[in-house]
Amino acid sequence: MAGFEYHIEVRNLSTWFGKKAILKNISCYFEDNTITAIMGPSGCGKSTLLRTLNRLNDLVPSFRLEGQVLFGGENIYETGSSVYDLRKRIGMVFQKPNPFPMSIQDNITYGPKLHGVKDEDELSKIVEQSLRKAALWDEVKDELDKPAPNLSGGQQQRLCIARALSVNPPVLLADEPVSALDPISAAKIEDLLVDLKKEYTVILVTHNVQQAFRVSDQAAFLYLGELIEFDKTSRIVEAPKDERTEAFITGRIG
Amino acid sequence: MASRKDALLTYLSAVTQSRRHFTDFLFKVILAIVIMIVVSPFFLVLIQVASIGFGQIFGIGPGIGLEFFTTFPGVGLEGGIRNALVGTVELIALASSVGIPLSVFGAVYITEYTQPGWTRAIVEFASDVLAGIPSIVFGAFGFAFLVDFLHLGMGLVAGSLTLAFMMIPTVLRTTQEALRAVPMSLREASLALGATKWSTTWNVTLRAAFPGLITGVLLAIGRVMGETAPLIFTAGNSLSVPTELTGSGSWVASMPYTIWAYISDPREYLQVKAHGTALALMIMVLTVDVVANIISRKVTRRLV
Repeated sequence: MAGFEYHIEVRNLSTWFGKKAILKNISCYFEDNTITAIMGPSGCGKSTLLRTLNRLNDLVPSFRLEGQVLFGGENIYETGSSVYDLRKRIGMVFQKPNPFPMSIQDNITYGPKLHGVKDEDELSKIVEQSLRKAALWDEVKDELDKPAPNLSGGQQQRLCIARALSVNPPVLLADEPVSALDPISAAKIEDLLVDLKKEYTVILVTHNVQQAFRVSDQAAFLYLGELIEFDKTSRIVEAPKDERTEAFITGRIG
Repeated sequence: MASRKDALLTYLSAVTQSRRHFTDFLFKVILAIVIMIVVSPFFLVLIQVASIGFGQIFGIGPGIGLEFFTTFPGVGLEGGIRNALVGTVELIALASSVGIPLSVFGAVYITEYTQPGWTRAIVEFASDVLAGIPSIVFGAFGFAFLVDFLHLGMGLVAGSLTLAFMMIPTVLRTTQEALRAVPMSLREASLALGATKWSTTWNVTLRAAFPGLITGVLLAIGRVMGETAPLIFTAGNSLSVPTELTGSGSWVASMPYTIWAYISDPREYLQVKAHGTALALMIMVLTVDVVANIISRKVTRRLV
């Protein structure tokens, strides 16, 4: 398999926090314009895997890693590669909506401004585009100056998606993005993620099998830090090969 | 209102009926008396100070009313307290401009740039000890270190720096608290967009912590505004406002010092002026505290 075939490819990845091994020798890849679900019970390492992809684990001093994470064919952990450029090209949405304590507009322009966009016209174009992509434009277009924390939970999360899209990353990471939301808001965000895969590579962490089945094309099932299965989602859900996968899917572990 | 009277009677008869009810009632009364004793100093001080000083601030005449704040004391000290008012404002402004940035950036370094461990423990310990040091010790230290050892002499600079030292622990600790209250996920959201650590700290973390930070700053200002002891040996005194940054031209009056000096003077009209100054100072400190309170309450509402 050629190194440049996929946007992101993980090769023999093992990680530790201090002495505790979190991920054990994981290899997988994330295809363009697909949604990949990383699923597994709590504590299986799925969030760690996701946060390894944009080097957010680097914030933890005891974090250690072996193996390779290739993005566009280059190892993102190679010394000399810019973590800031990497994170600009790999966006992230978090479990709980976390809008900045600023206006809706400033939330969106924060990223572009960081990366040098100064022109007001261009910034307002980015605001509209990003909010449209996140299906929030119609709801907030008249109140862009209002503080973002005043929005409802579901709106906040879509704002966070818009904020992540504002710097136009080819890849979007989503860490259980609907688990803190009500069912209606959750459904909206799921639909949105499916829409987004036309333009983006989406990697979704979830502990919810139904959700993975509804939205994802391929899936990785992690259990106690090991990658148990990695294949098309429908194949894994309908005909799990490993008994641990089957136990998870049928709700016996999780 | 017959029903209310009936209810009262029922209550009283219940109270007197059994020993347990009576004990319960007794403690309620005792606690009510205790709380009255607890809050009485505030009202007693306010009434005492206001009863003597009220006329100085709100009366009309030479050296009182608005003139109490706009005229200098003059030779016989019969005028207003403009020297003390301006002096306190200048001292606080200079102390804040030194003490606040140092404490805020110190707190940022300790909270955002170090891991829990020795450095952090030492800074927090030192700062807590600093907060507990009596203000007269700050005054003595200011004299020995700033006035004498550094040859700054008494005046605006030495006085302000001594007050700045006193502000540091309050501002540092409240800033730390405010920074810690900022959810980690907010920092992560910024970093995940490709922001640097400093950009994240400046644009997101400090911004989110700003209301809490302002509360701490205002509390510290309110605290040092009324301090006399740190200024006695460091600021000097003046019947006018400072004209220079060094030497005797930089000697500066302050409201607490003026209260202390006037109240220890046998002349009766100075006693009255001391109370007028005290009332003005209390109103200023109270205003600062109320503003701090409003801001912190607004934050609490926004974060919940």
